[in-house]
Amino acid sequence: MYPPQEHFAGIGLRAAHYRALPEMRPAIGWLEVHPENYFCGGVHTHALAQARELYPVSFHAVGLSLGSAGPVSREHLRQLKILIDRLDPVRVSDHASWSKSGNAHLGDLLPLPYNEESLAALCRNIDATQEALGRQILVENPSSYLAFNASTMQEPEFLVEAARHTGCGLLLDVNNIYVQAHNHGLDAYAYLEAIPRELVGEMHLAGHTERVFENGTLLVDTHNQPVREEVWALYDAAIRRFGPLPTLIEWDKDIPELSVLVAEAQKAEALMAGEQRYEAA
Amino acid sequence: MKLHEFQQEFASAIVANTPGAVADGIRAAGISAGERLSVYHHNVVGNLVDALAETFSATQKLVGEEFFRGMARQFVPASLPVIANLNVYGADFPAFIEAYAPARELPYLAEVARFEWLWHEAYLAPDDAALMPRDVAQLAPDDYPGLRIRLRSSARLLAADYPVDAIWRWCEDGGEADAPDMGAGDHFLLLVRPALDVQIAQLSAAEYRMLLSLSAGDTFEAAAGYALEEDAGFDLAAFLKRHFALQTFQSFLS
Repeated sequence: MYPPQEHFAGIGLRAAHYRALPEMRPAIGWLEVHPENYFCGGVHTHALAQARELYPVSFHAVGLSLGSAGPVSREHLRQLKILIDRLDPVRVSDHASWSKSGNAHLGDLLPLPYNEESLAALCRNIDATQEALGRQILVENPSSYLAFNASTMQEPEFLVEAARHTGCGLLLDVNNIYVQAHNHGLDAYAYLEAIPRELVGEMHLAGHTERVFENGTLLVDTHNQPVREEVWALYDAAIRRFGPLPTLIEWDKDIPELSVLVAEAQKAEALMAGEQRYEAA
Repeated sequence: MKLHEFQQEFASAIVANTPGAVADGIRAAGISAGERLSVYHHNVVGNLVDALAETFSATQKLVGEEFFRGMARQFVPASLPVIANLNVYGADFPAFIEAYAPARELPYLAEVARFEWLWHEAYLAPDDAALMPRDVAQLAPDDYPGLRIRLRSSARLLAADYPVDAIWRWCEDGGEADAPDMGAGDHFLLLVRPALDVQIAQLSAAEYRMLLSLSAGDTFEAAAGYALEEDAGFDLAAFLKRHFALQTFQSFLS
């Protein structure tokens, strides 16, 4: 395996970098892929197999719709399992949100009311997924742009309850916490404190965009730019609480040169190593 | 409201970009429920339009980004994905373009889109191995007429009224060279992916009939019959030579 697994920071494998990655062989610890992009087979799967020879991969699913009132698609689980058996990912994750209703798949991470009924549906689907895949999954905290009157708990409490009931781990997206704090008036640092250390198996970092309305602003989780300084600061606090953990730089739109992604990953790596080189730069 | 009802209402509200029945359930501090919901509407529709723009890049180049995205935004709400795999999203888009009134002046547009969809399918088709001439050499000549041959999993056939392969190539090359002749005529194409690259082969009408017939599971004899019907001078030996070279065939159907 190249390189040896001492690096904690990873980047996403995207079609734009299929060629550059094996040439550059950057010093990163792992690659994240959306497994759904490889369900069809064909040319994408060749690129993934080639990348897998160089790095461990983490499967970050976007299509299980774990928060749907209905069950997880058996066919989706079957295809995911085939890919897991072939590529042996180090971690498998999806989100505490939903995207499917009836026959429509909206392809976005839609918010849940945080109450007992949603929690029961989410837990049912996490249980079914872990059973079908024969392994633990990690569930990620989402970004959202509205909240519901029907919510009876805070988001961290909801996530911790889901983990306690199902034995899943949590994937803490630090940018999403920052976005939630702004959009819903929460304290991002108190959010971190509300998550028990032992539940967290991976962290994410990404860029977001501010959208201005007449009576306020919303932060939108756009994954199209560098991680903001405020989010790096929150990440620093997260490392102090949770220790160094596999951390992904997410960048899915307006994807830059590979070297830009690698520099972001190395920034996370440096923070974890306590060197904090970037502050001096 | 039960969760499944709420999710149906919420999904409809996002697609329509009007809060409707879900407005009351949303905590709209400062920013209104409609504005909050519009963030989801733009995310959902924007992601799907982006996926179409990637798959149908030549189509977009022909009409420009603004026209393309406007057309795609009309398509998306009535054609939401049914499974969570954007690679299989857009099969119905060429038919939508064909019926889309503002595109009527470009009669080749829907055909170019159809070509791009087939190219996309060939690109993502499962890998398989080609049938080789030596596989045929093992058979007795008496077996030939009754043979049925499966085409490669990536093989796609297209009959078009416009030279879509030349138009597509022109777009792929950046559209800076002189535009190809876009006049109507009969065009028959095979797309197939022997390894990592999709190959495009122009076919004669008889060749197209033969491959179409084989792909439907007809015997070699029946398929050759159709080809000869199309063109009495159809050269079967040349056909086989060409398609073994192109690696069009996958296996014998028993």
